[in-house]
Amino acid sequence: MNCQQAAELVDAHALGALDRPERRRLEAHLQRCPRCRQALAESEQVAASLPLSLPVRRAHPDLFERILLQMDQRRRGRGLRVSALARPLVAAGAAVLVAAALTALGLALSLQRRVNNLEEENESIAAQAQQTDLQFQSLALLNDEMARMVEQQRLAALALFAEDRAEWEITPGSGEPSTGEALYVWSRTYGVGVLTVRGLAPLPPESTYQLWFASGPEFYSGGTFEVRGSVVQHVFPLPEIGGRVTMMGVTVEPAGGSQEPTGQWVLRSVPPTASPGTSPTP
Amino acid sequence: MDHGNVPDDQLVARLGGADVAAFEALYRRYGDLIFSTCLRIVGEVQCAEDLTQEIFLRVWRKPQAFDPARGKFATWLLSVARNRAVDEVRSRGRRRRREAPPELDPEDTPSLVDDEDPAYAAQLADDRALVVGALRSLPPEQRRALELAYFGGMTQQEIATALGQPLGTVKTRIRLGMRKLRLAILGSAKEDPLP
Repeated sequence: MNCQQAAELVDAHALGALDRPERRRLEAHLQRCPRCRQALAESEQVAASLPLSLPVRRAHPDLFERILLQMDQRRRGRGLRVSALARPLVAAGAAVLVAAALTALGLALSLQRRVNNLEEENESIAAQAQQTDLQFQSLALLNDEMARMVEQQRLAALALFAEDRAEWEITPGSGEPSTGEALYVWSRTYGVGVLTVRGLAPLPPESTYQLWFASGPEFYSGGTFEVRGSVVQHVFPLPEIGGRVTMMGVTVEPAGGSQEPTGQWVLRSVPPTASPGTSPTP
Repeated sequence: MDHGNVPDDQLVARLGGADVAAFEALYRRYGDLIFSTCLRIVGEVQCAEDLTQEIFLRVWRKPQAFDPARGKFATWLLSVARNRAVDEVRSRGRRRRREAPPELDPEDTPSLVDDEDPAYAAQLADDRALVVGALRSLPPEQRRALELAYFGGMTQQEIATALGQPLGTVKTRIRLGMRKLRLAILGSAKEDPLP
């Protein structure tokens, strides 16, 4: 087959309309002809545009949840190594923080415990998790804001009970003017970190608290948050950090946050000492 | 995390690190498009949903199957979806539709606007208008041949048999139709419609 003959077939090939003998002859030619391969690539781009002409039909709103469920079942089925907690809660204050976080999660935690207890029965887990997801979807229909809050809580619950959960306690360093403390729990699997804070004072509207991760000389923002009660919890997406985290802390920044720490440090902590399952890098 | 400006290639690369947020961003961009394509081919909502689920799971489990050096992710993804849907129709032994389904005016269909990725959705809407316009500019017989091939999964010979036309006529219609589409779609923009 020469290039002229191939050129007459590439369009039909891009559409999937060649019969088998023609397709084999063309593919044999393409293996040794980069110019015709480029022509085919252009035809494939054009063919792949055809679905854009279709009437738009939305998939069922819970389809992505079903996909997530399949991903989670497969992950469990591989028997991945279970990481122990980074370290036990070492102080009564930290236990209070976690207890407050658990209370705040409410229904999401209760449902998550039920899922964990049924871990050995794959079909039961699938049915229960699917009901849980459907329940969350029902809430989403009622109120967008409530749905967002419920999703935050669900992610927080998943992170707090994730197999790869890791945690980091952040306390005031010496000389820092704060009576607050915080516990940061994260899960790489679910891509979220849960920050539970106690004892920080509310700020005026022109200021905000900002969570930071340091990796060597570089700082990465973990998100901004407000304090309106004695114990508050925030769920943040995990930041992209290239190296090992060497420090975590909280500063006071202008409203909207900053590109790097500019304000006063109110909480700051270095990573915990190494122990089984420790993962200082979010 | 906002993935609105992250290119597809980077999102796919993050799947290797089990980045669920990146995966969700890809689903938000292409989930409905893949579903619509599968639905057009298989004709059943449940089957189209199952295929959409299968395709995205395939992307999650084996992101390295996409080779950025060979083309755009959207092109590859739609090709995988189209081929899988056509195979599904063939394996179920269903009678392929010989007639194109009734056309719906795209303006009557739900918007693809995604509140979390509005810039991307707006670009997609523009691209859709370009492709719809390009197809409408084709002679009906050329458009029909392209749709029977791509969405109907029919070979040129099968199209010729179905339409009662000579094989050479069908080949010419496909070639001319694709040439006009290529000029309208790739010639009017510096980049092809798919991101």
